[in-house]
Amino acid sequence: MKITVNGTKETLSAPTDIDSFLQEKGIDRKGIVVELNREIIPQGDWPKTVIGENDSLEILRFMGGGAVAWRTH
Amino acid sequence: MEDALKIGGKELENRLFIGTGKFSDNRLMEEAIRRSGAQVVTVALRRIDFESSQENILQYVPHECILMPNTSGARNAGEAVRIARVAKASGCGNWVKIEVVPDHKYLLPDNDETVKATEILAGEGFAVFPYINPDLITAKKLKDAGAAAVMPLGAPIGTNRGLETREMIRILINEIALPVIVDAGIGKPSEAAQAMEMGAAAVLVNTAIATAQDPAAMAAAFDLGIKAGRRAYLAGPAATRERAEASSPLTGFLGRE
Amino acid sequence: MGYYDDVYSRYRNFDFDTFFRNVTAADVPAALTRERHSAEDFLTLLSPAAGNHLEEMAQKAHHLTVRNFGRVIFLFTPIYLSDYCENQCAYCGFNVGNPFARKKLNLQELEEEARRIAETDLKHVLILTGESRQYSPPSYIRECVQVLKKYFSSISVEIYPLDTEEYGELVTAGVDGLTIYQEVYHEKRYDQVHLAGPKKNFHYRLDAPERGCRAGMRAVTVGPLLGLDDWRREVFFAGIHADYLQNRHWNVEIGLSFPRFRPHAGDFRPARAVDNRSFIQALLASRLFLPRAGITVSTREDSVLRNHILPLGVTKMSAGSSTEVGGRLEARRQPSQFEIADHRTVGEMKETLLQKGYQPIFKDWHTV
Repeated sequence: MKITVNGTKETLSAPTDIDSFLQEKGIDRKGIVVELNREIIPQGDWPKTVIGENDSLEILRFMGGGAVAWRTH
Repeated sequence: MEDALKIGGKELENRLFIGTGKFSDNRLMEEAIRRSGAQVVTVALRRIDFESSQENILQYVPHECILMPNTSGARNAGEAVRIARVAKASGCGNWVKIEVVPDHKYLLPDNDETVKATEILAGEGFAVFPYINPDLITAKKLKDAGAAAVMPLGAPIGTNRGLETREMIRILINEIALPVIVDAGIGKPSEAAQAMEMGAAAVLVNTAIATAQDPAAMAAAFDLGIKAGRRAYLAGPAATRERAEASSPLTGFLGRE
Repeated sequence: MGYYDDVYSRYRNFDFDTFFRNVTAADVPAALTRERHSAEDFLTLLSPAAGNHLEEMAQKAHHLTVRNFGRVIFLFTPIYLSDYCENQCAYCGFNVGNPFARKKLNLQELEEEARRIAETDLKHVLILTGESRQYSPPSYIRECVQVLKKYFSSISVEIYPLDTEEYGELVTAGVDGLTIYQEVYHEKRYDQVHLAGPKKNFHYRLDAPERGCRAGMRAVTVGPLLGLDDWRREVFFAGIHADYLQNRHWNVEIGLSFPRFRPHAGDFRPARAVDNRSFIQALLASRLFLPRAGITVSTREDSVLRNHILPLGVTKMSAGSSTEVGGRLEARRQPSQFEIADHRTVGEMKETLLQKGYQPIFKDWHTV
């Protein structure tokens, strides 16, 4: 199953929910924002929101800076 | 609180806003924030990089500080609105600094798109702090759009050139019934003091602190400079004389009635 | 919302007398040196204590005016269209109680008058009527504007207050300026001198300048009629009115004027006559508080005073004026609204200005 995460193509072996996906990636979930197909998913909905085929995921967090930060990844 | 800055539904004692970019180390940043006394800290939203492990910057921002996410990276109003909404969803409050910067050479903002984004976000209940090229008409439109303040640049971002736009900022301070926060270009505490003497409500500093040899000491110096400038403004500076010689009387015709 | 709620009401119960009494000699230079003057500075500059600093105020006002406007005076002349009036204003010659045969110009007479004015090079006229929706309704004023457009590039109105929509219709017809004096900013005093008629409605008149701004007028001028109440307070309220309008409607050119009470038909005498020193103080304080506002001085003031005040902040003057309906025609003389004090012709006025180093301007803009 192909998905896009932060602009990069990835393959998932099986459908999974957002919460598990983040856990698997080892991401500290404090202060994280997740957009699924450009729609913000509240943290409370992560365990019941399943990532599907061709979904696009944006996982964002606060960083230092301004001006051009969004694109300097 | 004496001489509090009432802004965005809050009351601030300290008039230095601090940016979090360009610090070489998060611990240095934390110390600089503490020494500056700043109560408002700007942060950017960024995609998480899965390749390198990154620390959560929020751990290093004193929890009593107000977080002000910026919309850095936005090239137009739509993107700024999207970033602002995402930031709000993280639960860090309703303050947002609008940065719409389509120009990658000088990092100068697009005032028109900034006005559009401000209208939308103010309507959604955000306390909106737009970063602008100091232009009176833009500032008036931002006031009408419901901005919480205006943030004119003193010089292009990161240049440390000081108050190059002094005259335009003076006009904004005189004409706009909103706090004017000088953002970008301030390189030294003396320049921050000058902005405050003119009547700026606050100053945002990032590069000048983050890239100083001793960021924490420089942060403390900015705090003092801003406090000195503010006190001078409140004290009411004496006017400089334009002419020393007496010119011919204009009211002699009145005599003493 | 509006001037009354947002600004006026803050000072409605303000103790002006105590404030003025407490202004010290040191407060005036302090207020004067500030680059930008707050409403409180403005009050300080209007205080009796500031009366001893007129020369310093004049120097600063002069420099501000030259810097903002240059050495130019914009000239215009009034045309009285009709003296029918339903109001009883104690101080006005058109008072409905004054028994005289009323007159209204027909379009032929107006055209004749326009032709004669145009011969003097004037390009800006201010048309005036008494308040009578029966004899001088907005439709009549619009017809007059059609005639005047052939001769003049700028037409302003000084007529009874209208609704926003009616002002908009005037703008569409070709009017670009609105002058409307509140006469008296003090609410109770206003009621006392406006004995009867539609003008008794203080608020409708007070909001008229803002309606004009909303309707698309290019220039709006406000002011009190000096002599009806304490001039310091009246000038203050007019100044903060202009300031409010400037801030709220920043694409409109906001102006101020301080007509002083002049004798007229009837036996009213001003309660609070304003002497020259006070008049000059009002002018200077206003220029300092509002560096960018136009300030008009009419032919109510005599030629000696008008010559002296050229450097002090004035930007507009009327010239070759007549304050009676059809005053420039040979027809039977009508009573005037008030007596003119400066009788110079437009040519003489122009000559004096040039001699004094000021450029007379007849036309500062043209509708395309």
